[in-house]
Amino acid sequence: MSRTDLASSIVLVIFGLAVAFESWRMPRFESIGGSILNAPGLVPGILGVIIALLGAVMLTRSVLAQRRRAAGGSAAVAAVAPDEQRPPDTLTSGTGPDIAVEGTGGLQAPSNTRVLVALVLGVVFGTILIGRMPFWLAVFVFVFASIVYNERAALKTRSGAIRILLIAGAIAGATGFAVPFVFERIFLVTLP
Amino acid sequence: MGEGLGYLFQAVLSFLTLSALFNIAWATLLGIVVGMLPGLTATLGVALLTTLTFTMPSGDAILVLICMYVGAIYGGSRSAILLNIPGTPANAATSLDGNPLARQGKAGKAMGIATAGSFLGSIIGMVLLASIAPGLAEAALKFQSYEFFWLAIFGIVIAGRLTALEDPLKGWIAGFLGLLVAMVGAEGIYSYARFSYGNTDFSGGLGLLPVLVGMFGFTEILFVMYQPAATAVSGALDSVIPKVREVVKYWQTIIRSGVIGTLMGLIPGVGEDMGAWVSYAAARGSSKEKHLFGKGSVEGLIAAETGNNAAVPGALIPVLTLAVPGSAPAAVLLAALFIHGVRPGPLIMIESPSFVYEVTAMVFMATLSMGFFGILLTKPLLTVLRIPPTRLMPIIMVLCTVGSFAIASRMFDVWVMLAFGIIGFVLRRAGFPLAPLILGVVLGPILDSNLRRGLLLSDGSITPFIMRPISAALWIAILITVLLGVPAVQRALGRLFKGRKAMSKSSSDA
Repeated sequence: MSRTDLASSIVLVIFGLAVAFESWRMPRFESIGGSILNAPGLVPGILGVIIALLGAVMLTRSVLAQRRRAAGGSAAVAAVAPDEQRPPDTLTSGTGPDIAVEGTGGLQAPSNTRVLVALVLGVVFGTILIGRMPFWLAVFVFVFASIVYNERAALKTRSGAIRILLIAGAIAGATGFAVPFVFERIFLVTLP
Repeated sequence: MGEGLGYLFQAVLSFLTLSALFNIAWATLLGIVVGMLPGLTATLGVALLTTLTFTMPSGDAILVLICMYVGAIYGGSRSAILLNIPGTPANAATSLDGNPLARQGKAGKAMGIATAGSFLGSIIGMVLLASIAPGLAEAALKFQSYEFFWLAIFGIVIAGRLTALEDPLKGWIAGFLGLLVAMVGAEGIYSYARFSYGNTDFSGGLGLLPVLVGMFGFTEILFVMYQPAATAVSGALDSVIPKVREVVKYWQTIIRSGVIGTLMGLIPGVGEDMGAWVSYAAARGSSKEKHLFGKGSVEGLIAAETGNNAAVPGALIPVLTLAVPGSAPAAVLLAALFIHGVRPGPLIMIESPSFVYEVTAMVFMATLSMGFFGILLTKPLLTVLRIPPTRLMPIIMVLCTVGSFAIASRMFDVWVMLAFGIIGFVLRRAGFPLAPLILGVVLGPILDSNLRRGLLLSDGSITPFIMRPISAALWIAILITVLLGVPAVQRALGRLFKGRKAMSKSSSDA
């Protein structure tokens, strides 16, 4: 985590300083009675400085931790030992389950490739497919491609391939039909 | 007090129509399903339903959203107990004792206890909501720009501290990043479009809902795809109806967890997950059966579920009285209230005094519905857990896209959702919590407008910011919270207390 912290802190310092600089450049409307105290750039500027400062604290901390590790010190670096009374690190994001509880076997092995493909498919769906074809078709293509990719292991055999293509087609078709129907016809919401 | 009870009674009666009961039923059921499924959180459920109910009358829409919220926080206990994977972060503490009970063949008992705990927690929270909210709204009438400014900062600082206990620095950074996100677009005094660079889409600002759907939807999908659940539910279930004797035995734990949960919900940005953890820790600390915790303790399970559901009405208290969200789903609810023309804040008891009690009645009806479906539909609902996440995630992605688009009908919001989904994933992988960031996005406009207005009113002087009594209380609380988050200060305090303990022990031994 310390190397990630080092990279994150450098990015934060640069980002914070850039924001502060841009905020300083914002007009102050002095010609119509404005001043620095109610200028548009006041709050973003202060926030930029605070983010850069906090980033600098994190940078200092990471550098010191790396030096301690390099010197072979046993001093506390980063995390306190897990305490059952406090929530585990990965849950402090406040969103979704990304814990891997030992000995439960409830989760598959992590995979960056799977994430990358999901990311690319999602971005392609939201930026390229939508708007260039009817919405139901964009939904069908996206859902079909996602399921087939995620279950591509089944494509190795002929029967597996037919099964997965049919399942993917059915789910994609049902979604392509149901989502526009429910949103547009029942809840009267505009779709892309 | 009598007037309040009258409003409450009238509100409950108004929900006894066929259409209201139908809305309560489907929304709570959908909430339970959303809560059960990993990858879907209460926040996302409420956000997507906000867009779905855009065209509904405001009373019906808010009722539906509250039912979704209550249902989702409860629903996560199912997957926590059966799969050891909490359906929402609020149910993480549930899995510590719920899953061991399930592995001992007592899954049904665990789910029954969880249902009872959730039900009672919600009722306790609801009573506190009706008691505290009117008084807090009256106290909040004394708030001026100076106090609201400090309240916004306090929200960020406390949320950052409590949602990232091991590294509050990252929590605070996330909070300030969120405040910065809110700065994009036209500001309130000169209508100058900040950070827009001539782009009309950016000058309209980054909407809260697309940012939220991105960070609690797309980010979540990416995390589930990173490490999907492998196993499905197995085995027959024992009875899910909880034994009254077993629940009543822990009445002190239930009341304590209910109060703790409500207080955790009340604190801005700190929500149901802390409600569960702090209640669990308190129960363990005072239990006569400490050795059972983590191995299938009924008391632990009941504390966690009572705590998390009590936080739901707790989070609604600052929403209604201060227009400050008590948790991430409450942030969405706040946005929904504004969309439907309700003006939460200190004036609520003056402008619409019955509204607080209507919301209390909605929580009550949602709780009854949750208890009813929770017990009655245990086995049918379990089939939902068999859906492989890799087939469900693309469907959720479609819903996220529709949800982002639906509010303002612009593709820009979809792109914002995608961008913040990726940013959220990167931040979470780097160990930054997202709840303070979302709180920052909500509190940003409050902070900005109140600081500038305050400085205008005081002619540039910061004296009122420091010397006014409520302002002083707030900045002192901020200072203490920040200091307590600094490791050197924690170590010094630890040494001080150890020294004192040793001294008092030696003087009592003497």
